Amino acid sequence: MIDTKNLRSQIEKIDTLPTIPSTLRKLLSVIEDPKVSLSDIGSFISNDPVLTSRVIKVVNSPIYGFPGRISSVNQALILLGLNVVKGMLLGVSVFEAMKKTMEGLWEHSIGCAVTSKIIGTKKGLADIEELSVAGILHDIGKVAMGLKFLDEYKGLIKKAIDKNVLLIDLEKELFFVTHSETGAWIGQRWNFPKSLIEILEYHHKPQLSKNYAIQTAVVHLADILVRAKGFGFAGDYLIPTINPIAWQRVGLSKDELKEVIAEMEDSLAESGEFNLEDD
Amino acid sequence: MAKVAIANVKTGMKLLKPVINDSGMVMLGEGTILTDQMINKLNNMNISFVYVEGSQAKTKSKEALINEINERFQKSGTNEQMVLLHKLMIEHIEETYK
Ligand SMILES: [Fe+2]
Ligand SMILES: [Fe+2]
Repeated sequence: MIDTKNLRSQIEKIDTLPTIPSTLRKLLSVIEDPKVSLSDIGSFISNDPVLTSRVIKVVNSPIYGFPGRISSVNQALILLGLNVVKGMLLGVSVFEAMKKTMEGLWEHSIGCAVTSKIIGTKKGLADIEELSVAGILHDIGKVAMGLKFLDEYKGLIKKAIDKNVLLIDLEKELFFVTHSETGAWIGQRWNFPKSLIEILEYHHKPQLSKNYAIQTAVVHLADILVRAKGFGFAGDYLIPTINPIAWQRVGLSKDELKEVIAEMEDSLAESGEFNLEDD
Repeated sequence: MAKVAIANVKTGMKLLKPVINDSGMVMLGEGTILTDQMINKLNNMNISFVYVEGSQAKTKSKEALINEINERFQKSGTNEQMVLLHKLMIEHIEETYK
């Protein structure tokens, strides 16, 4: 039985689950510390060869798309900055958990990262790399629910497919909250930046975002575009409806939207091959 | 980028990775737009795949792609913005697959 009364504390404790990889647990203890420095994080990554190779892969992927090849962890840290690196490390570390919860969620998430970046660049927004991080982590609430209640969550996904409904509506029925809230809970627990927590919380209700309204609207729209394209899998085969207020806040013209669709095609094709499986 | 089997390679596809023969020599460079002649040559070489521009979807027919998109939008909720998005996605496919 699901005890929804204590749901929040159960979700917040997912870092103590035995199924959480030890790297992620160690990583969380490092990034939860608000006083952690770039060089602390640098040595943490460098001590772990698997993490090192993944960080290098990610910074050279279309998610960040730096010109030229980045070959060292330090170079990546300097280019990306502390907040982005924290987010990216989380993304990289929840990769296995994403695969376990939902086949295709990783692709959906990097698709959303790439698309958020394309839209953000088109609109000349600042902190594009942070938008990419938000894209990778926007559905982390699904991972949290899937880790804690794997059978129930798999049941919801199956039902969403069979009945042609949105997974988020079924989440609400069973848990009384959705992956937006659970995502924000762990964001708070793990000391994510405020902007990221707000995006997690409101990416399906972007009209409620007050402090990071544009960024939330961009991720909301990116999520929908990726699903409309049929790239990856987010738990059902429907496309959530674009929120008109978010649409207005992003302010893409018809021509710009068309350019975004075309640019997505190439970037998604590249990211389709992008996998963190260790070789 | 799409990995396409030699049997499915078509004229006009653009190589995103060079084609290298058994002795390591570059036969066709990155960025080459394939012609019938080149495809014949590829067929005679000992390789099975090339990497070309575009998504995996390029190997699907235009009609199949449009059907998929229509079906997805039909199942989903709609409003003014969704109608526009649907229309532009179809336009994009029509233009890319001319
Ligand atoms: Fe979501
Ligand atoms: Fe999503």
